[in-house]
Amino acid sequence: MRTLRLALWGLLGIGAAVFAFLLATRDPAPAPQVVTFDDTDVQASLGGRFTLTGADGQPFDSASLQGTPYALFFGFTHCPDVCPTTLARLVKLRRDLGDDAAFAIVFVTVDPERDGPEEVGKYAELFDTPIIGLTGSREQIETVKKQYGVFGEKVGEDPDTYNVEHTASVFLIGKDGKFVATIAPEEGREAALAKLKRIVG
Amino acid sequence: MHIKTFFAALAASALCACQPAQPAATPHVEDAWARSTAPGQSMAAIYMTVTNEGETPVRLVAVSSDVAGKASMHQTLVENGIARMHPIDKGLAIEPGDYATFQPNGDHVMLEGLKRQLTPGETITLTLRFADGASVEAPVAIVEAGSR
Repeated sequence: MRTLRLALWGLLGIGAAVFAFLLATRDPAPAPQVVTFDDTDVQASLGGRFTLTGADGQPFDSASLQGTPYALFFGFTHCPDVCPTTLARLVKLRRDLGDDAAFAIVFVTVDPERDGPEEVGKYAELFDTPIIGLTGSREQIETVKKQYGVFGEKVGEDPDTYNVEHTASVFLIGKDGKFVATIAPEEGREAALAKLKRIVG
Repeated sequence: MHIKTFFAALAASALCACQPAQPAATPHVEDAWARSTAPGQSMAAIYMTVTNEGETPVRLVAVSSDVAGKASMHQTLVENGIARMHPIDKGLAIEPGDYATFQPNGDHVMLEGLKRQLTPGETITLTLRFADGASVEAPVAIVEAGSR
């Protein structure tokens, strides 16, 4: 009886060891990058100067925003829910601050195949307040996405109706062009306003 | 016929009689709205509250609108900071006295293949179909994109 019990415990031990080994050696799932605004290392490494294409088809250098704080959002014009919701939210927050020049709203498409200068331009005009719509070559967009740790990936095969899953947070950039904080969709109005005041002040 | 059986049959027929005879109260749609779209924009989202004022559960199974090639129910989920959309393909059950909310960054009706631009101030029609065959036509107000 005693031997049997020992043998069983032994088997259990081996099982646990195998399980631990499998757990340690399995391929880690590709974790999407999540931006935490309180991490100063992340803060220092995020962002930077970029060049994209404006709605007029001309190159847009982010240095032209020097001295202007801005809210940067990555999306696409065929996005039914999250993108217009986020832009409408920024528009309302800017109105809450009482000044349409308090900060710039910059919309960068993560879908340059469908969103050319004309598309981002018309989309930016939709909100009836100044919004800077930007696109660029695939490479340019990829570069900016990397700078901000932004995820963006096509879902679906149909060239007209595919969706793009993408980072939903807004990046706040100070007057000096440096990244300051993010606003996540689930954050309330007060939290968002408090963060905006950090770049606007 | 035994008197007992007779009463049982009578009770059963009474039960059967009152259930189908009672017309199911039509679910009620309130505050249906969508943002205006840019020229060439192919997608839009409709938000609304659907209330089940009846006595029995209902299941919203399909939506359609003549302004779009396709309409479907979707749920936006932000997972690890990334916005994803999941189809609500099994329909949406609403218990008696309860309501379903379609709101920004949540459940919404997705219009795909818009046939025309949606302009502020106009009203479009959304048709909701329920599992019991009932259908409801709801007016949807198109609002200035930045206003809501």
